[in-house]
Amino acid sequence: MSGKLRPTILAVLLVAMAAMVIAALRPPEKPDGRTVLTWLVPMQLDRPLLEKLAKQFGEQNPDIHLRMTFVPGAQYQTKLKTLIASGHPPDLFYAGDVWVAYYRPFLLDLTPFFERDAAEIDLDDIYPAVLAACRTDGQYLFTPRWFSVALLYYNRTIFDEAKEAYPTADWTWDEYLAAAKRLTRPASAGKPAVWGSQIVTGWWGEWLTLVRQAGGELFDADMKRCTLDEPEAIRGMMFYIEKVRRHRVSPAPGRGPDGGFASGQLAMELVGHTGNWTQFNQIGLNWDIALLPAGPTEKNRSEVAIDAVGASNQTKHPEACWRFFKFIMSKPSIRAHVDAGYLSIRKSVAEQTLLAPGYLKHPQHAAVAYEALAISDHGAHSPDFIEIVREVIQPEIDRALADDRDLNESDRLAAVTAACRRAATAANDFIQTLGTERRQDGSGIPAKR
Amino acid sequence: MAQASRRSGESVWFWILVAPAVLGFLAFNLGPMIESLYLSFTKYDVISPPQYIGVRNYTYLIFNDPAFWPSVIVTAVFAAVSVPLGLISALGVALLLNRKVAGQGVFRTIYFLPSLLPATASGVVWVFIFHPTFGLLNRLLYFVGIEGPAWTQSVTWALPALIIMSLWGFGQPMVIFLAGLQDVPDSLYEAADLDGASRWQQFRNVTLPLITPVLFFNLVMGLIGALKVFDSAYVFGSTSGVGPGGPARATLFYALNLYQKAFSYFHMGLASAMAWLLFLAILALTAFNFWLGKRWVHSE
Repeated sequence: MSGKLRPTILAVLLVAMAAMVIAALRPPEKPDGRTVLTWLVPMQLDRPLLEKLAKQFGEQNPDIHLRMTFVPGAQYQTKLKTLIASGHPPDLFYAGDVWVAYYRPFLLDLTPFFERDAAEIDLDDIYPAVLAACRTDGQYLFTPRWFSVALLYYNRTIFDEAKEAYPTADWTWDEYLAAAKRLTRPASAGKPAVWGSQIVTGWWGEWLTLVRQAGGELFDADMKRCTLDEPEAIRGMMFYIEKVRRHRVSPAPGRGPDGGFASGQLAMELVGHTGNWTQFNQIGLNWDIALLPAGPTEKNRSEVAIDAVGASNQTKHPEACWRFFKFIMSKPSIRAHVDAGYLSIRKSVAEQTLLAPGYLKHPQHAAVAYEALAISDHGAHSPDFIEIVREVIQPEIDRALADDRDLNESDRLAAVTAACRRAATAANDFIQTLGTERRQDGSGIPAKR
Repeated sequence: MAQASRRSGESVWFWILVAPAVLGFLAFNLGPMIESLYLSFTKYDVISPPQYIGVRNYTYLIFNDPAFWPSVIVTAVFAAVSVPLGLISALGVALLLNRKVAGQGVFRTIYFLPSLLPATASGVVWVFIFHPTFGLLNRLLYFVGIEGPAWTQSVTWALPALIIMSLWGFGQPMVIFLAGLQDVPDSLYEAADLDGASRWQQFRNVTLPLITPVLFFNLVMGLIGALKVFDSAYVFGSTSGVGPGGPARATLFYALNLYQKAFSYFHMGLASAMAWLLFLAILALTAFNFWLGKRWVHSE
């Protein structure tokens, strides 16, 4: 390095350091005597919507300053828990997904507010299944923004080309499978392959739905024992795996088209996510929805997930938080959510929009989502549930699904049974060790409706 | 007298030069290490105060945790395959780059550059290379009539994919090998030449014994690095959509398992116990390497 260059670089470094020190010493944003609410928000596609709503809230509530901090989705849980551990939790944070189970001891009980202002917020206008998903042990712990419910998605173009009748509400697994077989065709003459149906891998969305539809369950009522090794549960799991391995109507993991249902190469998709509706419509997919096909014992049972906001029980401004919650659940806010492509949690808004004739080109049967909502259950609000399913059971199922040996039906059943038994044994081991300790803390009781 | 004074001066310089590292260790590492040792005997979820539970974290990991042994096996297999392969590749390229050819400096730079890339950045690139449908690797295999595996999604092929990916960063050991090769006196090759030794015999009996100290250094550092693999595996799982450690724990490295326990599920006590088990394993393995090294490392 030349002698002349060295002092220049040193000077640049010193200026940069001085700038950083000045930036660090900058006084915090002045709220001008207003109540400050901090809101930790995961960075998602709905950021423009949330910023617009926050601005509207600020205009309607000039005495409250809403300070939003966006955090990349993958780091959100770590950031939130670290803030709680350090004694500086945000007033408001993302809730409603399965991870909220970890925050139960720190969520503000909103029940007194809901009861006090039930008429003002028109509580009866919110779908009961959505409200149920916001309650744990009778307490309202968060306020809903929108919901997703498991459905059967189908590509009308593929059905039309194959002259296949569209799925109906009375479909069972048999009809679904028969149609999937007829619609599956290999790639030929420059045309890509079409699969009868997608398979959801890597998480419990599909296989747990099938296990429940077959009459099985993952845990007993007290969550003291994993019941995945019982015949009904194994039957549901067998249907899940045989879609790929025996019937070959679904692609093996990693072999399906990129983009999933949006690729236009899947005739059907079980479960899905209503948050993808906007994407399907933007790319011009000709699609619709139906209720999930009924399993051997459970009729069309579905699962609902909600996107919601909760408050810390350490907040100094519970009333200000509640004002924000009332705003976020208000009809104009929910209408803004619908306009951004999400499902309405309010009956009145749904009737004026999604359920109104001609409001949506696709899906033509949006009302089916609300039929599914009425017969849906919500996920467990338990840390044990999440960790056991993701880390203990899921790897066994992934391994069983990856088993590409050419087995006959009885050998496949034996392999799936062995996988379910291994998973159940490991899950019970977990419950007896880490899980039991959690429940003694009172923070791991499974959700019940 | 002069010698004693020089030694004293060297000693002062030694302490001046190691002071930043020692002070940094005392200020930033020792405290957390002691704290983590204590936490390893507690149940601690970050939010509630730690509760002392004796050695239950250690017994749970060893006898009950379904992810512990799979993560040990994944890490051990990775270390056992990637370290020798990495050393052979680094030594092979170093031998080539040690030859006096035009553009030698350019070639050295080209081979060294990938090791400067952060593992997260190169991880993202490699996930695209391994993409089952559009990936470069499977496209190349397709041209020679082979249907490539679904690398990132396959229980069988995900770990081999990560091993291939790890070879990308052999620049560091390569440079050290290159320095070692340049220390081998030319006179020894001339003598071997006069004795009629072939190229292979020269490599086997002259080069290899004289570079055993750098080979030993690269082996020890490579093993320690392999036992601590985290970022590339995390990026691999996250970017390919199978989730960190997936599919079916096929890429669940020990450090990744530790991270998941600490920062996904907040079992800080368990994670601390895992960290101490890893520390003890690395200590034992390094001590074993040093003991074994006395038998094969050439010292003058």
